[in-house]
Amino acid sequence: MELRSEEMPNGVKLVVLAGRFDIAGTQEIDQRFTALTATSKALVAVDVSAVSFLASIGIRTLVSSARALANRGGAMALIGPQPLVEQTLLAAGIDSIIPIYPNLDEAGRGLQASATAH
Amino acid sequence: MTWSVSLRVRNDLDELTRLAEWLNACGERHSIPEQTVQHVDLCAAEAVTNIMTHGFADEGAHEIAVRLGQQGKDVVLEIEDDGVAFDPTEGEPPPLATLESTRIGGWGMRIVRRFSDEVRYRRIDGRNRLTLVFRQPSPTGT
Repeated sequence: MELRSEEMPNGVKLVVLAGRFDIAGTQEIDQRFTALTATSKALVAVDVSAVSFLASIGIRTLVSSARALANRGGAMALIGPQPLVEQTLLAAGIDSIIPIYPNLDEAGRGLQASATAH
Repeated sequence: MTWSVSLRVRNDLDELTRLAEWLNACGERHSIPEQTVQHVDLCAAEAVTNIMTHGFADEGAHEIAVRLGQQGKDVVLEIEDDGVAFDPTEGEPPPLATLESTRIGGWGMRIVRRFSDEVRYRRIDGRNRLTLVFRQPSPTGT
């Protein structure tokens, strides 16, 4: 799996993942992903549009990081999952604990609204 | 079954990559629709991960047998292991909750049920056998 990140002008940290989020993919990105999402009060938008496969081991990484972020006053959102990945997220009920947006603009607005609410 | 192929994997999470590659290659060789292959791939990953994580009471080496085949129009995935008696179809899935309270894990069988059309478990001669059926749409779409 590939991971890249950039800071957006509106203060949202964009993390872009690509490839299979399976056991091998998780091992490849776990440390960097955790480090990127461990900053206090960070608003993190995770672009998963290039993720072709998401297994529960990948979901575990997402949920653990989202929870760590939330505990520090931050928030996470997912952007643009492919149909299979979206259906996997819905089947696991992840959409009710990590919001999913179709694009970065909406994710940014949603994250900033959640930050204002806290 | 009309045809079937088998693979044995060790109870080592690193084997999941080999399993995925094998399933995808078999799918292509037997002209299984891509979406079905994706569903089989995901369900196999979840079911085998469950077995590797929870299925064995000792630290020893075990093998998990995976069989992919066709029965009528359906694609069938069978996973057999010699671990402790474990029926993954039993029990309620964990309740959906908030980010703070949600249990980490427990998503595997929820995912398996979403992407397969039938899930069967049997305990036979000291082995667990999980059978997943993936129905294929008829040409008329009914």
